[in-house]
This record gives sequence, structure tokens and C-alpha cells, in this order.
Amino acid sequence: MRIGPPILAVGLVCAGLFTLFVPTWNLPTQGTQTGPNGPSLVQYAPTGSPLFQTRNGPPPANPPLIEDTRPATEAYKNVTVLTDLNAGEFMRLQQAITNWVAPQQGCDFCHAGGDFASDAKPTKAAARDMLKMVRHLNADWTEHVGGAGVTCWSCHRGQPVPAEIWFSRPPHPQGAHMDKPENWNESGDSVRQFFPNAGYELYLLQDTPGLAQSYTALPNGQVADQVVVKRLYEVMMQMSAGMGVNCTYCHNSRAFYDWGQSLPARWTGYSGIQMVRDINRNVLLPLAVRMPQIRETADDPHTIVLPDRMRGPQEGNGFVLCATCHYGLPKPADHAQELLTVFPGLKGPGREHAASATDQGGQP
Amino acid sequence: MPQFHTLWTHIELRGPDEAGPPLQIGSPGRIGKPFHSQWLGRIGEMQVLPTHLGPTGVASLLCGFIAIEIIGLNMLASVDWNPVRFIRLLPFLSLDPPPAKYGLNPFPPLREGGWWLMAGFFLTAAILLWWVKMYRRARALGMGTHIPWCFASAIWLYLVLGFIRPIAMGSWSEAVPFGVIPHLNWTATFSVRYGNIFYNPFHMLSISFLYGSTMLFAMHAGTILAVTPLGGERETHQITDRGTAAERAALFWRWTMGFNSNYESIHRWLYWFATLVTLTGGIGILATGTLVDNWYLWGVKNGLAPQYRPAPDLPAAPPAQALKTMQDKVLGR
Amino acid sequence: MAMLSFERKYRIAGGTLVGGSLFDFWVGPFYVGFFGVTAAFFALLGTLLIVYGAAIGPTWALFQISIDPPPIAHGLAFAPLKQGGLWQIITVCALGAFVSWALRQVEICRKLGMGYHVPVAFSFAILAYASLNVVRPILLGAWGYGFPYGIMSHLDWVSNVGYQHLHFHYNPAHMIAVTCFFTTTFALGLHAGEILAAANPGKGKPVKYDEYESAYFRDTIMYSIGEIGIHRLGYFLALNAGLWSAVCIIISGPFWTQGWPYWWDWYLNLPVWSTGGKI
Repeated sequence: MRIGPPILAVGLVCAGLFTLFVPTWNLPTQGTQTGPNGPSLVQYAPTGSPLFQTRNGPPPANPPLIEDTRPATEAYKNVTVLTDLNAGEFMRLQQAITNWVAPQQGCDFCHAGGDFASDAKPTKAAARDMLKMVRHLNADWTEHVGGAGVTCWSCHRGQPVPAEIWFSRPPHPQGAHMDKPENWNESGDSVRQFFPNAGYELYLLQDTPGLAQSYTALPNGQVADQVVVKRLYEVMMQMSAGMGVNCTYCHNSRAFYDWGQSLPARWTGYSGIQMVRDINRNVLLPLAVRMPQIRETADDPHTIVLPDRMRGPQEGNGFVLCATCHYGLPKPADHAQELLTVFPGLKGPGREHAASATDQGGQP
Repeated sequence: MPQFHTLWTHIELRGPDEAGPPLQIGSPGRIGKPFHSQWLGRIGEMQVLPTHLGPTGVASLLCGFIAIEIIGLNMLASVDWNPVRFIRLLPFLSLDPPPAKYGLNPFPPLREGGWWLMAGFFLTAAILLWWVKMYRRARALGMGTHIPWCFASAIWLYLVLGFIRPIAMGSWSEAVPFGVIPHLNWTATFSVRYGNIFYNPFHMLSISFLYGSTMLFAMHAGTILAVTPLGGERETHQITDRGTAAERAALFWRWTMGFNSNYESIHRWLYWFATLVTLTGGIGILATGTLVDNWYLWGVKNGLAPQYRPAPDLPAAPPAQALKTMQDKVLGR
Repeated sequence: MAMLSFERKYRIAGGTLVGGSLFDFWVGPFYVGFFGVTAAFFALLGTLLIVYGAAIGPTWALFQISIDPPPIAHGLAFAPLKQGGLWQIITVCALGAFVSWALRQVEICRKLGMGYHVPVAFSFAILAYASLNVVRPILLGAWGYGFPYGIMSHLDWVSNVGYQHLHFHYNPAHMIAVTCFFTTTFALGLHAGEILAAANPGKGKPVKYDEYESAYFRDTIMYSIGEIGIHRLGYFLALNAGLWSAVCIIISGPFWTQGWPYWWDWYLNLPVWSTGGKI
């Protein structure tokens, strides 16, 4: 009797059972169509990675408001940023910030001993920079944060250093004659971290235009070589992964450059990139000057400065990208809209009305 | 009871070792004592070897070995000679061409593309020498040189990608890096840079021939296997002396689709489909960046691109004032 | 009649699967059979519907014509004719035509006393088509996930589905499928070249047979797979190309919705060399 057919049948049955039961099927798959029928402009519901999901829980409960209508500048000494709040709002915000940024470390994280007015700790100056930044973003970046706004919780999510930041990385040390290798982040435990972040410096720190495609069919002298385009591709990938969306959330891939074929989210994405550049260049880069001080004077340099999973010798300074706030969701689950109604101090007067945020960058 | 199986060989016959016909052009004799593999014999022939290895073959293998060593040792060096890291990162390691600033300089620093150029040179030499070997073996056996010319089509694509197009573009940086994942990254980057490669008509042709080749091989192999009990796999014999296998194979297709080839002409279909994949592909790559900078826009110019309705709520282009305001904030103005 | 010189003796009755002798005849060189009738019906209807779809569309430009599937919001329901219903009917016609064609090939094999290898191979191609436009949409819950019937529009679909996974080259089944396609083409060039080289040795030279064919490949690449072997190999490679293509698209969406590069996280995290994420 022929053994071929029975073996084949058994093989097929095994293959079928394997296919049905072994892989973790993602069914039912939630998908939304964002463009015309046909070219398949679809978003899958973000499943995200576990790392993101643990950050997407609710914020801690708001501290109570104790009525005290004296201006904060009158009730407390050395108030330089939150000058528009009354004392009750001021104290409530201070307590909330502690919950949002340094819940384990407490008030001592910024304030030296019992002297709350003292500027001895460099973390206090950093906190002032952060407050100015948040007030600036909520007032001047409505193109991106819109009516929802941002709070300290949006990025920090209960940690002194946000979980999703990137560092400018020195190139691999290499011998004198060997080929210069690609700067894969070898200690990354996921492909997302593994990819090089050289593109981030180009597009999220510097003001590099995202020109990867020609606007004419025939050559017009525009130069964009393979390396430049590759870096942009990497940045776009982190953008997609950081927000739990795919390329077709913003683009029709047959013509990435063409706004006429793009989707509404692209405009929000564009303003997001500009906002990230503003934060990195005008807030975090100056803050980096103070980083060595913060590391030296902090109680435990490693836990303070570096996120748990990024410990080790690190030469660069932390910058933000889309994932810093979005944590794998197209709209961050940061409850910012509710929090901003409770904490009005987080929205500043805006650039036109106050001195530029950058002027006070170096001042404690 | 023993039966004939088309998909695998049930009864393997082992005759005397085949030394191969005498070579018609004087050259060193064959080397290697034949050995027989029962496992190979289940699907193909049992005998492995003898082979021929003349000076051309030796030179080719040597150049190829040098190329592989350059690539591999550079990759190993890039992980500080650590074997575990090497294996872990192997799919991601690469040997990259020189950066754009060196243009077509044939002697960039070793650490910035010099090694890539050397590896590319030796690999090309190895491939060209292998081509010579394929050609000479055909001549030595008194056979036609069809295989070498098909191989030449593949070499055409290889040279376009790594040599001809970079020269036309004025920079080695346009060429493909060595590396498993990196060469895939190159491909995706290439398509983004040049406006979606699907709109390149030579790409369309090449893909049609690629899928067509696969379809034809499935059709042809299926046909031959279906008439194997009648001796249909003995194709050269069926060409010169048509038997019932050839007749039934032809009639199968005639009755199915109205026309047919014969045992020889089907191989001409197969040959040209395979050869044209890389021939048209090479043209398509060469035209990219040199003749056309954005294939989608080229498609629009030539009436290829379907229109999709634009999304509501999106400005056709970002408002200039909004752009300026954002940039002012970024630049601290 | 359009018969080959040796054809008459092969034109016998019998071998049909359905319909007995009712459709057991030829029209010109074409064998009809019950499935020839159904194939012709579905093909004609489908083609006319495509032409109709072009007529109610914005253009007759060949490369721009597109018959689109329904919006995803319609789910798996029947859609109105002009909002994807046409696409649905054309898909049914396509499957009807392809399956009829395969079964007609089976009837022809039976009549000629041949093995069923060709219709089996064709079934893999039908499977690949069905994976794209039937199985995957059903798994994802909407016919809108199928590809449109249009020369350029189906390529736009491919491009966008690819970028939905950020970098589709990282799909492992896609890697296998692409390798199978390229290897098939490579083997095809070698095989076709070999037969032609043996049968066309050049002016004045005799045709070469088995010994020479084996010798060529032993002399160049040390091993000759043989006359049956190359056809088994080609069959295996070509069918796997189709199979793994079907697999690669079915797992994109129903199994994996993130970027395909991130599927490889398990590889970076293998215990033997995981860094625990520390820099």
C-alpha cells in the first residue's frame, strides 16, 4: 500500500493544527479605514508593546486643594515661574508634580532638606525649565497639543526620567582600518531600540527638512542620498511605533511627499515633529549643560538620571521623541485634558505676552 | 509492491560511475572520485562528482574566497571579534559603500568604503571568471552556450546595481551594501527615494517575468512529472524523437488553452522568461535617478496613475504662515 | 479542424468528472467539458463586469481603471453594486473561473492518462489568490481588505499594505517566498539553458543527450540533479513560492498588526545572548 498519501494527510493535519493553535492569532482584528476604498489606507487598533502599556495607566489621584487665595509669590519665597497662581493652587501643583515625577523620592528630589526656597539642588532648576516648557507647550503649541494639552504626567508617568527618551550615541569604537559599522544599539532588547538613532539627531534635534523624494519626475539636481533617506525612514519608523500607527496613518505610500494624497493626521504629525524639535533644541539641550551636576549631586546618580533599562556608561544627553509622550497610542492616554482643568498653572500666557521661555533657560 | 512515484524515487538504480563524456577541447581532466548519496537519489541523481576545476575555476574560487573573507572579517571586526555577538548580529551586520562625499574616488579610506570597493572588485572578478568557466565548459562539451548567456543577464543586473549605476550617478554611495538586512533596507530606501518603484515600467516588466517564470516552471514541471511514467523527463530524446509523452504533454495544453509548444520550444519560453527578469530589471534600476527621479510623477505624466479623492479636512499643502510660525518657535526666533 | 498531426488518436471519450458525455467534445483546439462551460461563463461574466465597472468609473485609461472593494465599514455583508458590490461579484466570478479551469485540467489529464500535477500546481496559485481576497478579508472581518481590480491600483494596495507593517521585507514568510521566487527563476534559467544547449549545440555538431547534460553540471557545480530531479525541484520551488506568499499575507493583519521588524524581538531576546535591555 502506498505510504505517500497517508504521510501527506498526517502532515497536512499536523500543519493545520499547528497553524490554528500555536501562533497567537490577533483575532478579531480591529481595523479602521482612513482613506478611499481600494488603496488600503487602514489602521489596526494599537496593540502596542508591553513596555508602552505599563505606562498607560491612570495618573495618581489629585492632591486636595486647600483654599489660600494669597498670591503664591506672597506666600512663598523665590517663586519665579508660577507667579500667576495663588498659594493654594501653587501647593496643590507642587504636590501633584511630586506624584507625577518623583513619587518615590518625594519633595527632597528638588528641595534641599527643609529649605524649600533654596536653589541648592540642580534638580530644582531643571524642574523650573520643565515647568516653563509645559506652560509654553500648552500656550504656544496648540497646533499639536490642541485642546487636550500636556502635563508632567504626559511624559514622566511617575518617573524622574521618562521611560521613552533617546540619547545621542557615540559611534562604535573601531579599529583603525576596519569598516565603519552601522550604529545598531546592540544592548537594545527589542528591535525598536535596536535600530540606530542617528536619524533622530538629524530630524528631531536639527532643523533638517524632510526632503527624501523629488518633486519632479525628471532629475532636477536635488541631492538626497541613500544614507539621508535611510535616516528619515528610521525616524518615521520610530514615529509610527511610538504612536502605535502605521505609515498609512498619514501617507499614501505611492507618493509620500504629496500633501494632496495624504491624510489629515499628517498635519498633526508635522506639527509634532516641529514641537519635538523645539523641546529638544530649546529646553533639553540647555538642560544638558546641567546634567553632570545633577548626576553628581543626586542621591543615587544611576536611578536618578538613567531609566532602569538604560543603565550603563552614557555619554549623550536625553532627548524626546514621539514615544516619550504617546507611549504607543495615537492620542496619549495621559488624561491631560482633565488635569489641565484642575491645574491651570500648567498653561502659560504664551510667547507673545511673556518673555521668551528661552531667555530664562540658564537662570536658576 | 514497488511502484513508480513521480515526486520521489522509490527504487534507486546505481549503475557504474559515470566519468562523463570526453572533453572536446583540450583541458585538464576531471577531478574527484564520484560518491553516491541515497538521500539525493530520492529526488535526483545519486552520483556526486567528478567535477572539473581548471585555472579559471580556481581563480574564480580564489577571488570569491577573498571577497567573502573581506566581508566577513570586517563584520567580525565590527563586533570586536566577539563570536557570540557576531552570530547574534549576523543578519544585521554590513559592509557599506563609501559615503557620498567621496564620489567615485577609487581609493577612499579603508574604514569608509575602501573595504567595500575591494570586496566588490573581488566578487565581480569571481563572478566574471565563473562566467568564463560556464562558457568554456559548454564549449568543451560541444554544447550550446545558452546558460552562460542567461547568466550574463543576471550579471548585467548585478553590475548595474553595484557598478554601472553608481558610476552614472557619480557616487559609490548609491550602491548596495553587503549584509542580509542592510541590503533589504537599501531596497526599501531606494523605493522611497525614487517615488515608489512600482511605477517604474521596467520594474513592472521584471516582476511580470519573475512571476511568469515561477508560473511557467510550475506548469512545465507539472507537465513533465505528469508524463514521467511515459519517459517524458527524457527531454532531449523527446525533442529529436517525439514519443507519446511529448504528444500528450502538447495536447494537454492545446486542449486547455488552445495552443501549445513542443518539447524544445517550451524551453525557449522558459529561457526567455528567466533571462528577461534580470535584463529588464537592470534597465529599470539603471534608469532610476539617472533618467527619472520620481517614478510616481513619471506615471502621472504618462497617464498611469489612478486618481483618488483627497481626504477632507486636509489643506492641499501646509499653509505657509503656519509653517513659518512653527519654524520660528523651533529656531528660537 | 485545428488538430495536430498526431492528435486524432488521442481524442477519445471519457475522463469527465461531471456531466458524462454531455459536454465531452472539442471546439477547435479547445476541450470543452462541463467545466469548460462554467469557466467560459464565469470568465465572460467577470470580464463584462470589469468593463462595466470601468464604464461607470471616471476613466477608460487602461492603467487607471479600478474596481474597488467596498469600504471596510461594510464588514462581510453584500455591498451595493456601485460601492463594492461589483467587486464582490467579480471575485466570485474569478474564483468560479479559476476552479472551473483547474477541474477542466483534471478532466483533460484523465483523458490523456496523465498525472494531476498541473491542476495541483494551479490550485496553489488559486489558493494564493483566495488568501488575498477571501481568506484574509474574512479573518479581518471585512471585504474591504481585498485588493482592487486595477493595474496600478492593485499596486498601490500592495504598497500601502506593505507600509502598514512599516517594512514588509522583515516578514519572515515573505523572505521565504521571495527566496523561492528568485531560486525558481535561477533554476529555470539553468534548466531551460541546458536543454537548449544540448539540443542546439551549434553548426555541424551532434545533439547531446543525457551523459552530456549530467556532465555539464557536474563539471561546473559538482552535481547534476538529473532530468526528473530538476522537474521535481522546480515544482517544489514554484509551489512553495505561491504557498509562502499566501502565508505571508494571511499572517499580516490577522496574526501581526505591528511593524514586521518588531516581530524579530524574540530573536534579540534569546536567553543565550539577551542583554536585558541594558546599555
